Amino acid sequence: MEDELEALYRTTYSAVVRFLYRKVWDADRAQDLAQEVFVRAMAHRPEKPRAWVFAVAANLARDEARAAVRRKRHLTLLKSDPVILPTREMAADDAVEHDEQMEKVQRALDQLTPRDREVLLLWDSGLSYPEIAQQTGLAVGAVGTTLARARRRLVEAHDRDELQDHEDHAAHS
Amino acid sequence: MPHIPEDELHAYLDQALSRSQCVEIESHLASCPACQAQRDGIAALRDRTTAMLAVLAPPASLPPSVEAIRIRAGVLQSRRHRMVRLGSWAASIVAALGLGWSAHMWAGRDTGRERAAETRDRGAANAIPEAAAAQSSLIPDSSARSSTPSPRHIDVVGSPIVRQVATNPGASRERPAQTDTSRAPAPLSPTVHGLAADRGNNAEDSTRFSQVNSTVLANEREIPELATESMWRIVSVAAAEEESGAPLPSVPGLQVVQVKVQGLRPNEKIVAVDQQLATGEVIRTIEGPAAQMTDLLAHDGRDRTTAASRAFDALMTLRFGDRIVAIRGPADSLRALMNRLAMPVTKP
Repeated sequence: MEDELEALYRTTYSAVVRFLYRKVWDADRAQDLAQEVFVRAMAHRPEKPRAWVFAVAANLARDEARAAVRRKRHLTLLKSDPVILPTREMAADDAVEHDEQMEKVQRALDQLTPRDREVLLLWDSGLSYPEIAQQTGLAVGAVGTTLARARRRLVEAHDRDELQDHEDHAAHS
Repeated sequence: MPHIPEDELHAYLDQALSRSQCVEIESHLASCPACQAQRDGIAALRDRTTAMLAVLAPPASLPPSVEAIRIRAGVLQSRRHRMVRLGSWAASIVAALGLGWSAHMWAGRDTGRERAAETRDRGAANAIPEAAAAQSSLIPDSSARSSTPSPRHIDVVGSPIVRQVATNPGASRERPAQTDTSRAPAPLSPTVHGLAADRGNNAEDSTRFSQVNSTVLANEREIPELATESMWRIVSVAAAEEESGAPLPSVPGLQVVQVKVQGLRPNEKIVAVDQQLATGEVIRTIEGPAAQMTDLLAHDGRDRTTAASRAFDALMTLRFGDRIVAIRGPADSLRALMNRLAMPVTKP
């Protein structure tokens, strides 16, 4: 019989990679860290494995972010690192557009407060309100409020960016 | 009923509300066009943020097999286990010294030089119960605790002791070579075989360590056997290993003559291993949880200040996280052991 953690690994691995990727902005590194998270989970056998896995992932990502070198790379990565490109072949134009899209969303995400960003990313990783509350220290009732604000601000920041872009283009032409 | 708050609509759409809350919201929505519009707006916002975040995804990749993860978890577990249980105390001593821990050594030797040392250290001798209590001073900073013993640490084994020697004018005059910290230290286990043979060959070597540390003269006969001795159970090597769930704390290469275990609960077990040196003397390694070990050692040291005779005994303790290893035996053997740790690999 497959044990709970192994089932969790199969169902949650890619969500953990994605969650980490949005913090470290390096696909390979995100995968390494995700594997480390599950190795630790299997060694530890935590009681609430899903919440535990994301809590450890968040900690690893935080440690990672402390390295100043990484932070510096993070800014240049989107442009320079080929691993972020989708695996299937894309026309050069599409690839460039995809990159720009990513950059814009990343910039918008960067404008959120750390707490709003964390709650949004945890929700997007599939955690429930109580799990998010436990990990962030918020009251369960405050998770909805935080998510509402985070979503609104993300979209607002993104739209502002788009608008700025258009204005820049208009000014150049 | 007032309109539904924004966050509740988010929670509703996120399916984070109880059934009864949902019923309440749905009945309100059915009759409130304003809230319906609000709900649709929030649904759109939700979809948009989800789509935006979907862009921030690494390329799809195949996860490694569950087996690969399980194997790594096994390795991690056994490594942690080994570290915590100090199965290989030798490696731990190396790590401990390498990490800059200090070892206390209560030792004595009836030489003229040490008598002088005794006079000098009389104050310290009187304070020996405190020495046991002050074992917290042996605790390294917590960041060091999680480090795995590794060859990297061995590289610096010699320095802490050697540096102490260098601060002692007498010692540095006598043994200038020892102040050369750039020379590689000896790996521990291969040298331990020669421990007994080394005893007494080099008086300076074997007394050097006592100059470095405060030394206390003690009379073996007046040291009560470890106070909780009556609770010891003599067991076989295999039984001890099974009971403590770790390899025996012992000096590699020496004949094991007796293994004793005390404590009933698994994480309170103390294991004592007696091993015979070539000279027939016995060296005892005791390993156990810090709390129990501190008790044990405090009793062990209680009567030391009354020392007067010539049969001497030394006790060296090392604290490693929440566990303590104590090595008891002839003072000069332990000194030789410590010296080995600080000495260059190539010994003439």
